Amino acid sequence: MRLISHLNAYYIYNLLLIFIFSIIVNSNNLFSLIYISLYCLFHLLIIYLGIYYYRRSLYFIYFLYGLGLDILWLNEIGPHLMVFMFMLFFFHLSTKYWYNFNSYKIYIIILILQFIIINLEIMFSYLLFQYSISLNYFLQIFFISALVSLPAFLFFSYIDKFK
Amino acid sequence: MIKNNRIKVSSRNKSFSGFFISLLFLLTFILIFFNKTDNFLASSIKNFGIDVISPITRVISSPITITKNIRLTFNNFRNLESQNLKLREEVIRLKKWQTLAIKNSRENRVFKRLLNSTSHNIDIIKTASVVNQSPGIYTKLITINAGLNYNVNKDMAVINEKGLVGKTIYSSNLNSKVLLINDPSSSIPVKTLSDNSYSILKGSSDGKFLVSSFTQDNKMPRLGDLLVTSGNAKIFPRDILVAKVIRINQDNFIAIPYVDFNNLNYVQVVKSK
Repeated sequence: MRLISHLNAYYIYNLLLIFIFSIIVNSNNLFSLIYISLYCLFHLLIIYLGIYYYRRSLYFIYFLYGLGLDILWLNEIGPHLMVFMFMLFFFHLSTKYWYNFNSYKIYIIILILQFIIINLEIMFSYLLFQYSISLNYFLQIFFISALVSLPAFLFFSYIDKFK
Repeated sequence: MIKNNRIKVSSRNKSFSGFFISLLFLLTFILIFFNKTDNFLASSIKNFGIDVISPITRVISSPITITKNIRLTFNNFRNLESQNLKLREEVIRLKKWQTLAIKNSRENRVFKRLLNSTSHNIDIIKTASVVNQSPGIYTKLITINAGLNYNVNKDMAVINEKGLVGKTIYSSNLNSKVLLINDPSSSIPVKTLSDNSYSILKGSSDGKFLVSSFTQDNKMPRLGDLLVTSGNAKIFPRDILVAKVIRINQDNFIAIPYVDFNNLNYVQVVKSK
């Protein structure tokens, strides 16, 4: 309990990110639905952290996650690394325009951003390495993202209280 | 004076972090470029990723693995009685087969001696365990815990007790990546056991089946035909069980692989003798 009181939300999010990353790169025999949910949650967390807890050290953290995902999933370097880096840069430039939006609008924006980011990853993996993704997976990601997002945001807003 | 110093330090920090971010972006592009050109640096980073990051993430995700194993053990205990009955029946059936197999094996040895033929047995390089399986959203890969340290190189066939699993596409010192046969980018030259007609298979987009991408003389196999490796690609040794034909379309056929890709625990890296 004492340890938690010393942790602030930024560190908790980073611990969560490491944990989810470790699970999704070691998905041996995990149920596909649980796996895809964690994959969506990982992206939601990356976006959330980038928007609400932007700091320069995140560039290095996202660089490592992008590289890790690319190497451990694709055995190539490119799609995740590129998308994560540019995503953070985009957040840095654009978040000042979102400050006046209410929570509902932000929620929708984050969801849309997630679909765009996953699509960009798919697109880059196809353009760079000809990896195609089945429509079935894409639809699963789409629906599970929508399902997971609300409880995830409620959980995130609980973590946000740890200042 | 102090205020001036503080401003100087903060502006120096800002310019340093700006430089560091630019360096990270530059490194991103360099890595992508080097990866496309198969540069040594990209290979070293991949080696590092597979050999170092994988074990760390395995330790972090160990609570999930332990929970999963406990659940599996509990399920096994629950089904103990029914499994036991099934196994007894299986043992009786297998004993009959064993007698037949021993008889056939003796006959086979005698015939080989008579014909003075050499067998084309496969050479087992290493039996390895699966340490990681990619989720299959982009590619269908597994990582095994044998690499260059056990002479496991690129483009070696990987099998298990059920049949062909895939081929190695990358080897680091301690681990190797295996592209599964159900990946859409894989290409497996096969022949039918019944009439030796040749074709090439690749994975379907959902990874459940294998689809023919080429059939020699457009000669389609029959429903239920067994497909084994033809040995044409020089990667896969001949006569390893691959799949069974389950549907024949106008311009291709669909087969179901023998290997259960959701339950890969141990595999063998092999090459032709």
